[in-house]
Amino acid sequence: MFNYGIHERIRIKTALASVSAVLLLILDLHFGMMNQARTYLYSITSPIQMVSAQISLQSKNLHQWLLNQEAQEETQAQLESENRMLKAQLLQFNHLKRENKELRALLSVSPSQFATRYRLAQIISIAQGSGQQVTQINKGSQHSIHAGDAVVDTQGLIGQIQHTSLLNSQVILITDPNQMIPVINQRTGLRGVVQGNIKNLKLRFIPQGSDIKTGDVLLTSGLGQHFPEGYPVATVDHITQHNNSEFLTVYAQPIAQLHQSSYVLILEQGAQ
Amino acid sequence: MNSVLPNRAWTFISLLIAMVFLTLQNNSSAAQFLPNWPWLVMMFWVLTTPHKVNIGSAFIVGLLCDSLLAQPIGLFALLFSLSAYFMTTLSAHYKGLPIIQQSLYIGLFYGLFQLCLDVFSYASKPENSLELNLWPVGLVFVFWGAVQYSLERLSRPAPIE
Repeated sequence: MFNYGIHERIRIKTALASVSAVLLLILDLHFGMMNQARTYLYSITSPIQMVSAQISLQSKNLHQWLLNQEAQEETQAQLESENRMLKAQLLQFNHLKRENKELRALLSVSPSQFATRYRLAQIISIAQGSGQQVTQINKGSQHSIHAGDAVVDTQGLIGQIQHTSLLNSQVILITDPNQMIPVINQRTGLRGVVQGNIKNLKLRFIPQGSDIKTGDVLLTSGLGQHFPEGYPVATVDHITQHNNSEFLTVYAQPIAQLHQSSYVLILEQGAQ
Repeated sequence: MNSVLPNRAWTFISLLIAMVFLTLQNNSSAAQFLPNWPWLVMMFWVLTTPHKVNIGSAFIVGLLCDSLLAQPIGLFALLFSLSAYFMTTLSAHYKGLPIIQQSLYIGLFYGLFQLCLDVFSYASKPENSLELNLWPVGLVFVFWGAVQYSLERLSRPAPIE
């Protein structure tokens, strides 16, 4: 029907590809409608991520093997000592947990959420740039990881599982601007919502005159049921007052080591 | 080394390797200095076999890069498709040029690609300052000859005995 030359065909193909790409960009950036497509693409690219993670892991192992034996023995001794200390603290924690449950039952308050089913995962890659603030871990749907599960390191909250493939998952970090976390000020009990701000976090909806100061620790409040309560999120970094606004501008620094941690824990959603 | 695999297989394998490199470098502090390897490999194939590898393939590889680098879907797909279009139109003229001029061409195109990425990054996060990253452009200019030589060696058909 149409008899185009080679140059016309190339131009038509380019126009089609460009229009499709721009449409995809608009749908993703302005309407947030590409989540499902992103999950499919992620499933396709996850084997590449895994190969790259294996190469990275093997080179790290080789590097460690090349380090002298003495340093390794020292680290092992330190880890064993830390492990003994943590086990002792865990005994006390279990006692406190039982006591807390009994007190809450006496006060007829619903039980506090303690996530006890953890899964250890290794961070295999970090995506940087103007896109989302995300990282990949080496556990997927095969290991009972689900979208929405909270992710922590030894210091505090890291983020939330966004997409899963069979063998790995993508974690959206708390610094991503699309992340909103309900928090509570540990010192005063003041509630607010923390939003990702790339390099730090922004605490929103804090009225002028509220009792908040630099150094305050913000914990997950458990509201919204997306994150279990009581996990450290950030420390208040600086506070600015504006005359024309009824809210304070509060910036906070994440407590978790977002870019230094190698291992993370995934808290299974709804685990008690 | 002469290839026993068909050209299409080498295209696929080289693009996969380039994507593994991209993921590896993205996890390291060297990320900002190194170029986007899938772009380089894609452009090599567009220039050498424009009748087989062109806009459609570039669009798909771009989408995969969007996923690998967690960029908005369509960003790399658009830039890869446009780069492939310009390379396709240049391919006949390019083949007759000396290697230094070929490297200049590719360096220039990579510079435009990088500029678009930096401007997009600035436009999406205006609180950041506009930082033009010229390191990868220089590296592309220096190493394009080596990339081209390695890929040509790999894809050369086996002699008929």
